[in-house]
Amino acid sequence: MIGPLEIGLGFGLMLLLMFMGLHVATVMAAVAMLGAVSYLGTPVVFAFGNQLWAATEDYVLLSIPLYILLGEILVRGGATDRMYHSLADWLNPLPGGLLHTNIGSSALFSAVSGSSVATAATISTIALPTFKHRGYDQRLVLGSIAAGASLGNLIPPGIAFLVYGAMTNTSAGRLYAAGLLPGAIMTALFMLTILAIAIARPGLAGHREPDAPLREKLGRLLHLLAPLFVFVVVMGSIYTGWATVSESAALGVVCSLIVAAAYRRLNVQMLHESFRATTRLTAMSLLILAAAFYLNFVLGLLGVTQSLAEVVKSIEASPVVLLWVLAAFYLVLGIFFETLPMLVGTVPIIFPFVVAAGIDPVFFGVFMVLMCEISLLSPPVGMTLYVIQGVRREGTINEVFQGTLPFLLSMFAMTAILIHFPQIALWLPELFFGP
Amino acid sequence: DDPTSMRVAGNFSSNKNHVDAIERPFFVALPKLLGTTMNVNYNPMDVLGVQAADALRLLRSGTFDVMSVQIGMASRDDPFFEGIDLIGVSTNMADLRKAVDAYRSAFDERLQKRFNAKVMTLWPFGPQVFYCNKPVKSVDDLKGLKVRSFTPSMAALIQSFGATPVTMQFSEVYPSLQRGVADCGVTSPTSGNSGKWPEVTTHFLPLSVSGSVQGHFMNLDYWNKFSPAAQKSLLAQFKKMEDEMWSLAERANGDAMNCNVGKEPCKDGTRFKMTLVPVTPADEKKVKDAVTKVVLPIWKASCNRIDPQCSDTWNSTVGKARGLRIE
Amino acid sequence: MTHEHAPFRILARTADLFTLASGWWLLLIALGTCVEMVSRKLFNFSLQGVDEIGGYTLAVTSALGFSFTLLARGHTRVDFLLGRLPTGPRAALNALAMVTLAAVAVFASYRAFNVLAESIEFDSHSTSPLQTPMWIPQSLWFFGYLLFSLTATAMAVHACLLLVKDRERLNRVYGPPTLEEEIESETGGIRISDAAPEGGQR
Ligand code: NA
Ligand code: NA
Repeated sequence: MIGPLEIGLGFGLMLLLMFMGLHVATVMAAVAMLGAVSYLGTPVVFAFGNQLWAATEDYVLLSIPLYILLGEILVRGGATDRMYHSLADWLNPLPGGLLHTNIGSSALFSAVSGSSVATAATISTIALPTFKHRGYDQRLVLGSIAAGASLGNLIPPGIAFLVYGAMTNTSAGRLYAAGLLPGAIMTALFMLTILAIAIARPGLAGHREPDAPLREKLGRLLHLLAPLFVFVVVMGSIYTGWATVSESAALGVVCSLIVAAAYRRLNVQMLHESFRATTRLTAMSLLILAAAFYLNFVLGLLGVTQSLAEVVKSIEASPVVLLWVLAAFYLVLGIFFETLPMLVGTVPIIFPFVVAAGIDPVFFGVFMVLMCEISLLSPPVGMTLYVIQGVRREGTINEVFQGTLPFLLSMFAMTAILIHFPQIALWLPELFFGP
Repeated sequence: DDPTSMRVAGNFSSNKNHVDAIERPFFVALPKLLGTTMNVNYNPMDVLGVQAADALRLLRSGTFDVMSVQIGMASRDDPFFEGIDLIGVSTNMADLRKAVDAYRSAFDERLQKRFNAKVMTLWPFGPQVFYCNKPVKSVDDLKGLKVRSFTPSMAALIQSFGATPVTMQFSEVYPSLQRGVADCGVTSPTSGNSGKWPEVTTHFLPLSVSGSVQGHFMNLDYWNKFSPAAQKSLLAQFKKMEDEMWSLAERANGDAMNCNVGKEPCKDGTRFKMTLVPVTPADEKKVKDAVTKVVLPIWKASCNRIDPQCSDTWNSTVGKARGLRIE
Repeated sequence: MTHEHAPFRILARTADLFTLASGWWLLLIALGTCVEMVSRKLFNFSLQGVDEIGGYTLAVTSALGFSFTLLARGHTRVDFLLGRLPTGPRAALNALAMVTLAAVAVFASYRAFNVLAESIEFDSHSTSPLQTPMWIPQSLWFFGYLLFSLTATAMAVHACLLLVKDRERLNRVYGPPTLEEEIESETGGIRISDAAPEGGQR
């Protein structure tokens, strides 16, 4: 068993190697190997192969490529932009106008897609041209897109939930149910933020567009059905018991094919493009995940989990205090890190002592995913921010940074709500699955 | 010199009765009981992300010194070991004990020879019985139902009853029963009770198709590092744990069975009100027939593929103890 | 990027081929799963072991995708400091990243091969009703790691040569993807539908 000093050094080394720009998977494998070679011996080093197989031979995790694939097919099938414009018809009249559409369509796309970055790329590609010459404050436009994208993982389904569930043996179905209400509250908070800004500073919120004729609006309403259809099938099949989590993802893929076919966009070339995009995201996530599983294995054998759990027990901090400390920790870490490295790099160490402190694993999953989403939104390192700026191709990244600030504040508010009212996460899973 | 450390992979952490009440305390106390200052590292295998099916390989390579092994899963690398508790062969704990004792030395010999590991304990989780959410009065009523199964021979047995075997992970069974993805699940009274299966099922059929035998195995090189005196006290300590596991299987499952159907005494489990379906001699007979007809031939085919002597060994051990024979 | 060299062209073609094959296989699994669900619900008939094949599918398709993703520079790196360094140190770190990744990939293949070899040695069959011979999914899985280690090694060697010859180019070819490339990979092939009222064209 190694002590807190060695653990601290190991964690420091991990951060150092990451900042040196080595691949995240390399860093995790290297730190794990170092621990195994110095303290555990050859057989543990050689068990690398068994653990790589064990980490990825998993039916529940098969939902990762399936969710990505269904999102890619929907986007390439033309469902997302139609959804955006239809939603704009109805959210336009609110103070803040089109800004609400960014949040609403992101939330809706999140409900069928598992990835925040995909959401950011999709929504900004569609939304930015729409905002041209309409007098909105650029920063708010960019901020609202980034904020919307951060819903991608919190609103189920989400890759972050699946990864967390796999690393901690927590049921993905429960995690999804737990993310639903906080995701909805987060969406509402973002919209309230826009509302508040639009009312306080009407100049920032652009000029109101004339409403489209009702008949046109009703006609376009049809386009909201596509994502709703996929969402209802995916989530509904889980909670009515027709399907397990992976089966529901498979069902979603088939639904997305139907939607793409209905829009007459289904063809081999489009599918091949979707396959390539799916492979890129899946292989990227799973290489990190596999390395992280091996790191977790080595940390367990080193007794890291036990010695940290003992430290936490000796402090006797209450769950609320502990969660606030962790929130501060993740806020700092999140400035530099992305979702996946942050999740897989810290969960093996943090999770055991969180459980030892009496915090519910499902609740902590929601908390972790919220922390990951904050990291995506917090400048200067945040993939979604750069993706949005890249799609925009004008102005400076600083405008994007400034735009995120009001939304970051509402995420902090969400963090406080979640910590002090854990029932908003735990109520639905208990309702659906029992205690 | 005796080893100064012991690396242990424990059973699945969800089996709280076994892991938290017996296994972990046993390994924590072991150095003191042996009179050493040995450093024990104990982690349930799921916490480490170790696959149960990898147990024999990880023991052979010395990745772990001791492992709690789910024999059914570990049989992936040698079906011989599954022979200790083939589906339907032992339908109660007394019969199972006879079968396990008859197989023990052949089992240990094979484990030492092929996987460089030694048997320290062999014990059952408890009788694997049926939880159904359809009115079931006998084995015949399983016909047409979807029953969750997890081994080839269990699937064959269920199929021979006219039921449809479905496969899913243990954690998926509760929601599947709740929503009719499956009609029946098979597990021990304790696991079912602590997993709250009676909430989503109505009929309890205590016909045991297996005891779900587990074991603690030790890497042989590691074992050989101990002095003869230390080996003797290790064996004695592990024997005590084995006895505890057997008595847990008998006592706790009796208690859990009462709890499931709302009878007294129900001390440790949660009380439910399932309908108890009495097991008739006709049901027992049906299981026994199916064993000879489908289970034993399937196992013979897979085991003799690796070792032609396999079924003979079984006949002269378990077969003899249970009055069965593989032709 | 590096594709003007024949070995990279061959690797890229192979990786792309397996990516498309994996995609079709995923689609097939999705369809199979739906057929299974419907037949289970309506006809009380269960195809055995879709879950088991699904598990193998993830292991195999992810391993086969590593090489493709590497060629597209899709494996995650933290570029916060890297982007702020001058050319020389940045080139050194980029080369180091490629060399260490290749080391991990080669070691992973070596150990993956051991897993496959043991499955062959024991003639291991899964204990599920399918009784899958383990060598079948595991040899595909191992092949994915092999392809990954070949790709990573070739790129590491190339990066080391460039470290001596042309550091600017090294940073261009082996640095984390630039913003433009990142966007292209995230939105590649996405077309704005003709239904958009604002007619947003990229
Ligand atoms: Na989502
Ligand atoms: Na950040």
